[in-house]
Amino acid sequence: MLRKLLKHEFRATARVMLPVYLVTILLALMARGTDFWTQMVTMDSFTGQNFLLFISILIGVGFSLALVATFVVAVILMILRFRSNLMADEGYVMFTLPVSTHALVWSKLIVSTVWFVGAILIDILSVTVLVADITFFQEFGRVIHEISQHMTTYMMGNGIAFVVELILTFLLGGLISCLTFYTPLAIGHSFSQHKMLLSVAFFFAIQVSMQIISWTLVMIGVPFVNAFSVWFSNATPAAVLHGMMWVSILTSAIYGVVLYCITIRMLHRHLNLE
Amino acid sequence: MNILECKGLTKRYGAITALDKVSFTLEPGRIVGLLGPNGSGKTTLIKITNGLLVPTEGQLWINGQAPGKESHAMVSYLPERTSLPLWMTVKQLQDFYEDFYADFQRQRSSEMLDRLEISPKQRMRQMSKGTREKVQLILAMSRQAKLYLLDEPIGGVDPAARDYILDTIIRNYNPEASVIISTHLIADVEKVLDEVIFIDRGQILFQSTVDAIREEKGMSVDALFREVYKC
Repeated sequence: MLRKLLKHEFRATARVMLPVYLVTILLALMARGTDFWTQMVTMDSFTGQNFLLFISILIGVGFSLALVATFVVAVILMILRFRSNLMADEGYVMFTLPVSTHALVWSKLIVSTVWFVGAILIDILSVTVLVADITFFQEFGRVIHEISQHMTTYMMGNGIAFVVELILTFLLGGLISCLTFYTPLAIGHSFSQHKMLLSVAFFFAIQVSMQIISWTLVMIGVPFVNAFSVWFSNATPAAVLHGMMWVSILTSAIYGVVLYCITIRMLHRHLNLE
Repeated sequence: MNILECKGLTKRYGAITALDKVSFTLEPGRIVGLLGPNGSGKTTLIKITNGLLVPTEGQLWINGQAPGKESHAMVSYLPERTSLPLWMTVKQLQDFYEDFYADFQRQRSSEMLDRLEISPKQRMRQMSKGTREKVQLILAMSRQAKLYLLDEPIGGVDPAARDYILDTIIRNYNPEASVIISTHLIADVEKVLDEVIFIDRGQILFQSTVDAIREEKGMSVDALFREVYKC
């Protein structure tokens, strides 16, 4: 059933995200085009030149905004979809489907993370469209080759592991970004009044609580700093890097699991649709 | 096996008790009116049956299953408010129902939509409130469910549409299934009911067949309702 939920979630969100991606690529092509036309078109009059310059600047600004918009729209859509599809009237349809609450939440998490990844890929692609030429690709190939060689030798054959850790960190980051909003929305909407206001209040309450918990954990860790220093001085740079990556992944995963459990609990036991 | 069984069902919201130790059973093949004034607990009971609310106390079984994804596959629910996504076309909604409900009969839904001249290409957003409610009813009644839970199906529509809705319910429900119609518009639904459950302030006042009410009390369900809930 998760597959079917994903299909419908993609259908509901693609109608917003695909046009945003398309506009970003088109603006990149147009910005690239302005390079050619300023070189090829010669206008004698001062007004004509100014007009071309104005259009180029306009396209450039539009393209810069579109690069940001791919992420901003993805985040706004992630929040709105959770609220309108699960917490408002549509919740009557979604929560009476023969699917589990886990599947409902995962469909939203997966689709939102896919759009985040898509936003990164589209931004990279559109910047490439803007600046790429044969020299760029040659240089890009050379840099990638160098990085892979460097990583494999320096990290003692752990280059791929490092990439895997980076991808894992990024995907976890995407999921946690969603849950950071889902959890307060689920708590806020369990009340009968002022649902959105309470959601915002719980958002800040969770952020402050996390800061307090983080600092408490850091303070608890202070007495063990010496033991860590010994380990740091004896370990290879690659081991230190991997160690730090895994500590980051594990703490993020624990935070994510806590938020996920609260969200599921609220949706399962304290659902309060209007 | 009973299609629906409630035992000591209680729902409290802080100091307010919306349902108070509600117990009853329902056999298959019945059209039942869940009747009571506004705020009597009808919608709370239907929401608990659908798993949209968790009872404070008590238990409930739908064809032997506790509310959950297994029971959702057996229950066709028509909410009090239009809850279908407004951006979707009628065809997309049929796809949606077909994907999630194995008992959804697309052909039947298309026939009903044709009769009402509702185009599959039309978006929910483009429709009037009444038409949206009809689409929602058609989708709910196009399932071969074991239990239909219809919350105020005739509440917001004109008298002509009420007749159409009641006719749709009668003609399309699976005879082995049961239908619960929650309403306070008794006169309109009385003709289709086999049984009634009177509910007030979260408690079941009584459960009886319509024939028994007419024979024993010598009055219609509507007249009895007016007498029981006289202000």
